[in-house]
Amino acid sequence: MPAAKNPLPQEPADSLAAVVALRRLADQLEDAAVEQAMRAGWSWPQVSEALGVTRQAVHKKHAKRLIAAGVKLRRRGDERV
Amino acid sequence: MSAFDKYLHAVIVRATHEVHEDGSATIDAHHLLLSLAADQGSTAQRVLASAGLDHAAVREALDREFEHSLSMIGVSPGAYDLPRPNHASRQPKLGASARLALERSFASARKKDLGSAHLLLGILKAHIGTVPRALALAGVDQAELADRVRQTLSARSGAEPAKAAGAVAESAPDSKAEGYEAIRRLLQQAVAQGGLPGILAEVRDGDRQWFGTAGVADTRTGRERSQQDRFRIGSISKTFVATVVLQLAAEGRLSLDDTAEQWLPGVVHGHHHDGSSVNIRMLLNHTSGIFNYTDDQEALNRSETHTPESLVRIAVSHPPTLTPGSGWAYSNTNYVLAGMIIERATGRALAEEIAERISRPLGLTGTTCRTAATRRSTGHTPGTTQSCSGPTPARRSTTRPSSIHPCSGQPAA
Repeated sequence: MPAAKNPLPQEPADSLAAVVALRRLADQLEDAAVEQAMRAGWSWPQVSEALGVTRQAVHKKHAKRLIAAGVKLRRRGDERV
Repeated sequence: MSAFDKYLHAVIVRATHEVHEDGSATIDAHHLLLSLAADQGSTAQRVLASAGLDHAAVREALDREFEHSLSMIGVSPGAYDLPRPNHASRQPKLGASARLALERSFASARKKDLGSAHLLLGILKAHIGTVPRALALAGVDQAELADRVRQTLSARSGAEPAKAAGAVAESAPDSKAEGYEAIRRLLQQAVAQGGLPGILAEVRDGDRQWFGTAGVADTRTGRERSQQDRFRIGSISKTFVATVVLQLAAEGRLSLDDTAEQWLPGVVHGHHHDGSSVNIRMLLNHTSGIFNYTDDQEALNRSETHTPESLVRIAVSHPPTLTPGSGWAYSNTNYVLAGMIIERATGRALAEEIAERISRPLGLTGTTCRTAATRRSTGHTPGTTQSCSGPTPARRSTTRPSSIHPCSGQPAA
């Protein structure tokens, strides 16, 4: 049994709003983390495996943005996802 | 494109910039609010400003709400020093809260009368979510603000002067366009109020083709419905089954006067059901009196998957609705049995018979009928042998797994 945990906020509205805010925070964090990884030379398959999503999903979500940001993306045979 | 469409487009373009600013994944209602607050000279912007809500104040209220909501679970966004991402090339989709706000706006007036104030009103109609929380934290009385918008609207009674010229020019009667707009509103209503995840409609009128959607094709990703999406054709599959049965009758492989008992011994049996007094004709024209299995949702929900046999067992666990041949009563069980008879008479799967006799000869390349094997592997619960789909695949169906697919489902009016 884990020790004392944070209880949920008393109001359901607060708990639900926290979920929404966390999603947004997670989106922001993902953007930053993927950019960091790609700048460090990670490949799309590696990033997608680390995120637990498909290559297609991660490429679709981030490729344009990173190219626009001038990040050098690794070119590989499997680069076309 | 009407004047309002153009205006709405501009609002959404500005909202997209706001999305890029805060790193969100979708355009949400609060982005629309920011967009309106930045629309200098519009009614919405003036009403917001009169309540102390200029663009910066709205943004500040939203930031406070963000931090406040995270603090409720002990998370501090300040703990992450995130660089502002460059999103300029990403085109975010409309999120659910923004859609809801737009639907509420559209519902508030006729399209030619719509303006910025209606959009603001649509946003302010939400009692739950980020916008109400942010306004409350900023000490703004949302109800009072909404009233102020309504007063402005009734004083003006109509479109804003700046947009009025365009609106008049565009309002030349185009009954077809209005009809399509009405369909679009109905679709949006069906999603907003009917609990459907997504809906699509296509109108073919001579060479013209109109296509409209509302909601999403995929509740997980929020992907919008597209013209290529597949959908269950529901009870339309009955026409396929009936056609195959009639072809088999024409070929002399069965007779419409044959009884269910002859083809499926012992299947229609129990609770006063008697397969020997039900013939194939009665199955096809819904006069068999066999209980409709979709009327027993409880039994259907007891199992994740169903076979034609298990569906018939559900049906015969109830008494018949009428004496065979004595009247009409729509029953999906009839067509489950017809499908089973086809398989018995041909020795092949119903899906194969339909493909070979109907879909392939007619070039219905997007129409497929799922076999028992694929039905089980995909975890759907259509349960009848006649579940067909229309054009192109919609993987990750938006239907909830517990729901019963209307393959031979609801009475088609």
